[in-house]
Amino acid sequence: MKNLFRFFYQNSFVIGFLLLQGVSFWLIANYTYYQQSVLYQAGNTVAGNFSERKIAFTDYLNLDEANAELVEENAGLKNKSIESFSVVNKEYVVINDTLHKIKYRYYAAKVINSTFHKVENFITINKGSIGGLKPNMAIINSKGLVGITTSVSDNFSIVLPIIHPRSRHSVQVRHKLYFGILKWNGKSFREAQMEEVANHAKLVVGDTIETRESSVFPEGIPVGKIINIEPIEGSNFLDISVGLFVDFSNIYYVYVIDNLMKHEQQLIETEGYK
Amino acid sequence: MIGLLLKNILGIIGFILLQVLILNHVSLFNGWAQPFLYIYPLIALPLILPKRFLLLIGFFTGLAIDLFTHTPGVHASAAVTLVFFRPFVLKIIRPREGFESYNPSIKSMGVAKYFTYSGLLVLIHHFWLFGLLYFSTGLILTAIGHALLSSGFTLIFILLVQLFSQNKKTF
Repeated sequence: MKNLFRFFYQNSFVIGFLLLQGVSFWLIANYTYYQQSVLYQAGNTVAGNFSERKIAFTDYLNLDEANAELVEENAGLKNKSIESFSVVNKEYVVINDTLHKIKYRYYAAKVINSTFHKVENFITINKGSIGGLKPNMAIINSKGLVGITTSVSDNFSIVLPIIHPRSRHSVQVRHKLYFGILKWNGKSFREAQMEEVANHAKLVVGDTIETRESSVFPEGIPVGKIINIEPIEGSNFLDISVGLFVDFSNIYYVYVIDNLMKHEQQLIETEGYK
Repeated sequence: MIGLLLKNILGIIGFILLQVLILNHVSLFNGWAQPFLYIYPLIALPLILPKRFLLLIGFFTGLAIDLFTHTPGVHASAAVTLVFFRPFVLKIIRPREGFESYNPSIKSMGVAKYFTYSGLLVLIHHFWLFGLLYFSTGLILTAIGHALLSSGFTLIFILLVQLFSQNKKTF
């Protein structure tokens, strides 16, 4: 017994090293975005608060670009607003619309921390469950699809962006309606890959990729443009590179989309597939 | 001893803040080279601190960085590895009569030895770090490229810190 203690004491440096490596690897292996553990929540809040202070300063440096983007988008929205349309036939003014029900609600949020040159990238935004956010909501900005929320604390949310190896999005080619899965291979933050497109699909470089309607996404949110198409040898599928519209090195304001009929859709899907 | 420890821990916190607030947003060559200066205090810790204790310091320093980069365990593991190899690297370059000062620095070791010492530790740390980060993707060449370029970048920062703190005893 004495010898055993002596052994441990004499080798405590190596044993301590192995022990701490063990803890580290355990952390690496057990990390998931859906983790709602107390530690993770606390970390999220601390890091979030911290980043928010920091962004209060850096905001000033990025005002120009952010303003230009917002003005552009405002112009686009004005074009669609009711005031932009003149009434052609007064008999058909709709007063109480019971045919249309609101399906999507948009929340504005600000990016307070983000990475783009890593393999596992993340974005932190300054709205959480108090602001009405839940996990698995779509995140877009004025240029296109950004990602989905994964972990939500009271005041902050973590977004899993397209540029993360575990990101999967159902997408389609605009006007051509070929479906595929958008993934990211970890190489460049300006490019993603569209997979599972059969090689008979008539696609050309320059075709726009957009989201396919799901319980999370509305249809038609732009994602990117096809920049390269190659058949995969020995299979019936194409290897498609997509140049992303969203520049992840330059992202300040985002919109969170809440699908108000998500619950209903999921309910009938789980019931129906039984 | 306690005073020395507190002073060093304050230094570590300072470098963690510097890393998280500024250096995490700095990169060269389209993100290929990123500086990880938070390991500087781990390299510069006095030689009289017990080795086992350094392991814990390394672990918590790495964990603090992990909290901000959402990579639980990755930086912790790399920092622990760095601290583990520190005594072995010191043994390689230790002169026969031992070092004059208790703090590894250009002043106490000379430029060539300090460069070897910090360079080896930075390479160990960065290769371990990018190995873990890219492990699941299988992009070995990308990981090696990142590790080499980032090592150069970090080393430049370390030498700069050394230049500006030549006259002070710690940091």
